[in-house]
Amino acid sequence: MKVRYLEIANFRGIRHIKWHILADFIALIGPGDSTKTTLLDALGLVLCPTYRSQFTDADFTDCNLDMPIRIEAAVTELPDSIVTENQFGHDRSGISPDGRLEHDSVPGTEECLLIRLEVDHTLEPVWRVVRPDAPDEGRPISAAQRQKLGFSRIGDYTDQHLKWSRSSALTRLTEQRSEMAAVGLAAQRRAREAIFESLGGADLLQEAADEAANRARRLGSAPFTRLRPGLEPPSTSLAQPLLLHNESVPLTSYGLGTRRLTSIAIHDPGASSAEPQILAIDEIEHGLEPHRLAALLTTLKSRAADGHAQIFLTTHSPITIENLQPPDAHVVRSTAGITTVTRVSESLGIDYGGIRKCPSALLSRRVLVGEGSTEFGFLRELLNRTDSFYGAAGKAGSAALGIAVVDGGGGTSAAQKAAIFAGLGYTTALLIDNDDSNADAQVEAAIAAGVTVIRWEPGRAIEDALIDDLDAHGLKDLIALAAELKSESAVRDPIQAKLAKPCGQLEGLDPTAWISQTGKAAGEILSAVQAASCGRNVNTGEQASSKGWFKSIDAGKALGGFVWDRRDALRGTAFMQRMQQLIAFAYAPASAPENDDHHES
Amino acid sequence: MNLDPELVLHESVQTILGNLPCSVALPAGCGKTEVIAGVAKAVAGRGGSTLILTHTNTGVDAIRRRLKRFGVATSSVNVTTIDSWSLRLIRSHPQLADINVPEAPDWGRAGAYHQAAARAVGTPPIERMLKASYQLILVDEYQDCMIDQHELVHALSEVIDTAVLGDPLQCLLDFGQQTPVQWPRDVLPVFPEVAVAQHPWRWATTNPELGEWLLRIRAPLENGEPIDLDTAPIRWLWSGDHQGITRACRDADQRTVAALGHFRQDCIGRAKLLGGSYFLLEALDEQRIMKFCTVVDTGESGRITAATVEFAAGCATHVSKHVDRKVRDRLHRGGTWRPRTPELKSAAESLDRLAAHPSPANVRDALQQLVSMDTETAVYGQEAFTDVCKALGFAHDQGLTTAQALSRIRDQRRRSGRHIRKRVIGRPLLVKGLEYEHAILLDADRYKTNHLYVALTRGSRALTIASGTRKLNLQEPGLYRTKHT
Repeated sequence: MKVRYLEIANFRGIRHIKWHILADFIALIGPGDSTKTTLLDALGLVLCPTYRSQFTDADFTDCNLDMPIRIEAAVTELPDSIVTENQFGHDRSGISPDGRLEHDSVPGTEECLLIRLEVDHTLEPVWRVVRPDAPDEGRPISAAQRQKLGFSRIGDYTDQHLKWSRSSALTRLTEQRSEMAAVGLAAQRRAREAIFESLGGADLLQEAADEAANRARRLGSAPFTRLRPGLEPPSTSLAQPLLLHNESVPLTSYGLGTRRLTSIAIHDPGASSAEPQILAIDEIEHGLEPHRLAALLTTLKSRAADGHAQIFLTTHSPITIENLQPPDAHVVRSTAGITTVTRVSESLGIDYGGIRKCPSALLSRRVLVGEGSTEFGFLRELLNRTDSFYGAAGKAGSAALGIAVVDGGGGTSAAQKAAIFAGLGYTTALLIDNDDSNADAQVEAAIAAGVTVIRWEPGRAIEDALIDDLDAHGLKDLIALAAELKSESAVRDPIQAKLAKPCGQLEGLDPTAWISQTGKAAGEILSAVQAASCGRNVNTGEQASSKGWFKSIDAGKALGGFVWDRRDALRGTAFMQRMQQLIAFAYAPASAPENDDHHES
Repeated sequence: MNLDPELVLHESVQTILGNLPCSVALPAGCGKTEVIAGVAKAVAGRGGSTLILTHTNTGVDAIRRRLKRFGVATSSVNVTTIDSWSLRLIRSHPQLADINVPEAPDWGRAGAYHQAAARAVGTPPIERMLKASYQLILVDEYQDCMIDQHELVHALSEVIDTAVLGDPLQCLLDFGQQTPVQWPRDVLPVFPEVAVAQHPWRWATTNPELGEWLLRIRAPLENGEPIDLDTAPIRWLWSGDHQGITRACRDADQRTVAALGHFRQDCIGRAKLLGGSYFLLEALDEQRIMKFCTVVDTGESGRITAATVEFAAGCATHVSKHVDRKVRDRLHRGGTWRPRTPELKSAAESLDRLAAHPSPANVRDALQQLVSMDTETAVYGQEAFTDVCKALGFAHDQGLTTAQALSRIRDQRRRSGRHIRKRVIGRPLLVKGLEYEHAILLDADRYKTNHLYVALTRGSRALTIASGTRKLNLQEPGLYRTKHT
């Protein structure tokens, strides 16, 4: 069975969601308050194969009991045993490829069962099979019938899957269920016998029993012949005693990763079932080393690809994301109680348009895309410094606010990447140079997608913009920093080359001294310095290149530190205005509706 | 003949299962229900399930009882009527069936419902449901299928192996406006006939000679030849001997007796003579009863009061003696009835109340007062009387018109079938499918072939035939012959 549609109303942090599910392998990705675990919980409840569901007032959105909890799931690929006349053959609906529900399974739709779980203020859950647009209440579906839908959840209580308990997967693997009860009962009976035999009569327990017999006799109760200690008679209602062991060690004593992997293995549909299973796994990486996680993901993905299973999982792990294909990744966002799930487009290619390289960004709330290595390093350092500064003042740092900095990988690519993040629902900003008009169209598109674009004046790169606003002192320090990162000649020679001949020889690193050495105007020297700092060749019209001073992440970081240290000197400049814009974006308080999921850990 | 019933049944079951799809023509009393249960049991034994369709709830009950006796688990059979199966299907799949059925189905549109069901059966989702649910479909009393029902069964047989069982000689037209299936024309091309052993089990312990005779006369009946009663194991009476016939009815001491006439009026006359000791059955579409209900619904005081008296007089003895035509005319004009005898006073008062407030409840009250006016009064038109009283009660309780209420009662009976009563009087159509110990044919000369055969086969112990001579000449040759011999 597969779930193709899920609608939730008034359940915990989800006021409403309508989710048309296309994939068979669904990795739910999003920051910690995006209600993705609530989605798994809702799925687990509506398809729940047991009666054990307990609801509390807190399960209602805002604890408002006036609005019932309602979870509806459309399940396709139904087994024959469900579609008979005496089961739900007459209760099937249809679902079209674009997710539209039809009363009947009319041509162009796939047959499905629409299962609704409703809980009102009595907290009594009611499961029914309903039809779209039907006035009647539908037909009740029992736990035993829901069990046929083949849903399993690997969550916090994995240990139950290691026991032969009611409706556990191990029990389902056991052909003869009566056998299971018989084995347990026989063992309990033998234990009872053994206790009677081993307690000969001389020990303290027997003394107490004898005393009880004496007292009973004095009070004239029944004429007991032999009071003695013994085990309670066995019954099937006692706790299920059968548990998976390795040698004599119960599997429940093993480590978390092993327990979870074994549980998943027991559910593995490839191992036993002809019917596709639905498996929901919360925090798949929980307890697993990277290599076991990667192996598990590979297996699960192949099960889904074979059509043997539909897998829902949540993850907080960049390793999981690195192991996914774009269409596997489903970004979950929650705004004002409205949850949305956006599938990462397949058209982005294997690299998700470069996003796979920044898996942690997919787990964040806000994304700051830097054009290239320079900006990436620059922004990282800027946030580090700001974090320390705010930390000293007791304010939340960027990590706590869920900000991720992403390397855009160059002008056009950076703008595209920013647009993709914005499209997936992330609040996104882009820091980009303005010396390459080739990127203009992409930048426009990014703005249209909702990206906050921070760009320098026309014709200016970050280095140009900074040098524009530095005083002579500052410029001297910047040249010194560049020489430190590269070498004196590597800084000086390109400047020399950019000055028109005839021209005196440059010496030292003081730009003021260069004026007298060369006899050139200050403006000409400044232009040459700017061009050299970005690695631009004015004569050939060459764009900024790796010959620039800060064209690496580390150099970008150094630049960031340089700017931070001179923030007082730069106050009020055009450069500093943009810095303030960046800081404001990164440290904006999370808007209230975003964090209303109080259930997620 | 020395036959082991179990062996015979086993052979019949194997023949049917080995020749699907097929039709089986089994005469009355030859263990058709037994064969159905046997086939279902064989299918269940292989782990399969059978859908068994018939026409009335009485039929459903009879098959269920037999299945229970055969030890067939209820999970491996679904026994229902064609109508309720169709209704459930088209209600749950209105888009596939392309029909919307109102909350109270309009059985006047039964044909459209069956067509819609056939449409749905042809769609992949329903095909899948049927294949997941059943290995075999059996349809009983196939001779009673309307052509639309037959088309539905035909559609079903394209999906699931199907066998249909019936007796073409027992096909009696029930609802005038619909076309019944014709065995040679409609059934045989789709469901080729297979022959199974015909042994009259119904009479095996009660009257084997009668059973054999009833089998023997099938050929002459089908060929329109006269039936010789001289050698028949029956009691013969001359149809002119009215007293003798009445006496035969009175003296019949079997546990259940069916006295069968030809026209309604004959039955009413005989029922009157028998003074209510026989329960008079009425056709489901009897116009006169419906007409009275429509009059009640007019609310016209005088007209209703007169009609009430008239209806009571048509159902019970002595009513017209006390309230004669003159009185009825007076009542019609809005006058009153002042009987001289004090014991008639309460009946007269009920009519006064009715004239003042012509409500269904007051009609019912007046009817009950009228038929218990004196100790001599006896109701002989029981079915009409109780149906009308019930309809008046429904009309009062549920805010329906009396006519609507009567329609509901009739629909209910149409689907449920009749219960067996100790002594009934009516026409063959009304006792079709029912079994009595003694059948009395009040005037056997006037029946059409199929009606005659149904009448002859109703009694399991005794058969009494009243006719003009000891040779029965048929009114028309057999219409529904299975073969041309």
